Amino acid sequence: MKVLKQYWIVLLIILATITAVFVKGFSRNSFRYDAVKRAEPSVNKANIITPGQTARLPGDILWIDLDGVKNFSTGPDEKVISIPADSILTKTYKKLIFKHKGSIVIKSADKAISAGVWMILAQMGIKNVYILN
Amino acid sequence: MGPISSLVIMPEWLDLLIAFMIGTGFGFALEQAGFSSSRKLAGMFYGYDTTVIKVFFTAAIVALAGSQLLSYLGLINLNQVFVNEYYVTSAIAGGIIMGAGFIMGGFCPGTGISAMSIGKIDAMVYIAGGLTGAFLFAETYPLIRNIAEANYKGPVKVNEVFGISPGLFTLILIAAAAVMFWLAEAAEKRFARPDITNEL
Amino acid sequence: MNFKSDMKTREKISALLLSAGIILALLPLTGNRSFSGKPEKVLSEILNAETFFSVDQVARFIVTEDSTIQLIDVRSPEAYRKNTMPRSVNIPYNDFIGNDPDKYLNNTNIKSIFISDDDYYSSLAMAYSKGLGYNNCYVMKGGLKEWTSTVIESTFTGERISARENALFETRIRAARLFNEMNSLPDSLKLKFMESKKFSAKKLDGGCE
Repeated sequence: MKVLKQYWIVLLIILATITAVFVKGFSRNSFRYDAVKRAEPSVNKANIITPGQTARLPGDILWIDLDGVKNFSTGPDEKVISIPADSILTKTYKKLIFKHKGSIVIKSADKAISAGVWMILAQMGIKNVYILN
Repeated sequence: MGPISSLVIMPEWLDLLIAFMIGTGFGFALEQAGFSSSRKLAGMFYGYDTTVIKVFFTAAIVALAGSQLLSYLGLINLNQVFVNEYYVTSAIAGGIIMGAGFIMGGFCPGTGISAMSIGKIDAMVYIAGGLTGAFLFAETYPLIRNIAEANYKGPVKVNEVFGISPGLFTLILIAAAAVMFWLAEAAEKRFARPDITNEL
Repeated sequence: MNFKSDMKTREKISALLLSAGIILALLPLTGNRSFSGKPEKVLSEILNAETFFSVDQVARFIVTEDSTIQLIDVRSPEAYRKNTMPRSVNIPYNDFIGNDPDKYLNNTNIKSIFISDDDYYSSLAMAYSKGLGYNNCYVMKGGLKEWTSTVIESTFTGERISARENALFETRIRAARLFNEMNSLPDSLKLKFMESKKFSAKKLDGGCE
């Protein structure tokens, strides 16, 4: 008790620091990974996938069309959603993407859009995200 | 003010004002710690007064730990901090010259300016000597270029050389500081010089 | 000053510093960089239409020798040697990601325009750069495929041409001429030219070196 009284300010600062670190650590609203490491799949083309290769992807696949057309030519059981690229980081869609346990396949007619979105999602920590070729 | 200005867009005058205020704070801290006294500074080498290492090392590890924590929390961008290029030969040669100058003059460049600001004549002569040395270095650079640029290693960081994370390196440095301070206190008792007072 | 209170202050500072050190040692800090800023902001910058230059705009930069523009071709060295954009430097995508982009992008007065075969690698490079805080990065929309079909193979069909169309057509012709001249050089000369471009690009970086 005496120690607590004497060192209360030290303990307060340590507690505040640990809290801030935990909040930052579990926050989905920031980048915190090694940029080079997260960009690596794009270097060795491991982030590009053909329709035939999607069968080998682990877990459920979340199909995201970034053009609003839902044109994946997938079966009726597949989870296909249409999200405009500039809305993909809104609260609802971010929750959906981060909560998804399997793989995520994104597609856009504009390669620039799919490349940009892939880079952002990869840098936010999502590992199993692919661009449909 | 790279690390801060990457997060907040500020006009150049504000950038420079912050730098000025930090410089003022640094000078104030040096003066109030007694670093305008050449006896205090020389005491570091003779062992009777180890305030210098305690103050500077504490400042360094507080800055190190604080900046890394702030960087992790996204409040500053450490990638904008300039990392000095490492030339082995010139670092060793410059270190020897600087160390000799420090013990002979009783000042280093920063503390010399601090002492000069309170009117110490020896500090003024010391700074004049330092500026002369810098001028001579610049003028004779073509002649000594090969030595100055020998053994170039690039902007290396210690933690990268040892292959450990920056956080672990910080912890090791803090522990090393604690050991060094304990040794410094022991040295002060061993090499005490009661005849040298703390008067400026 | 009271010795006892001195010791207490020292103990408090030591406790704080040691705790900070332990927290830092346990954190997944890396020496490498991570993206900075808010993800939403970075994404909107990446998708912003102003981040993309059309091939006609790039043609004008080439023809007018705009010194505030730097063309960075992120294709492989073999592809770059085969079809070299005038006034461009080759930094293969693999090298660009593996190295510190500060080497190429630190001059904020220069706009860096990434080029690839289509938009894919150039957009990845641009997104990567913007994420690391380099706002002076752009993409040539459509890449070399668009460049070839719009600029190199440009033809005018029609009876009358407006002044604006005439200016556009003229720029395309001049840019196409520069492109063809560059790519008709023998390999040895081309290599020399590319090496000198690398050297001069470095000189433009500025700084105290």
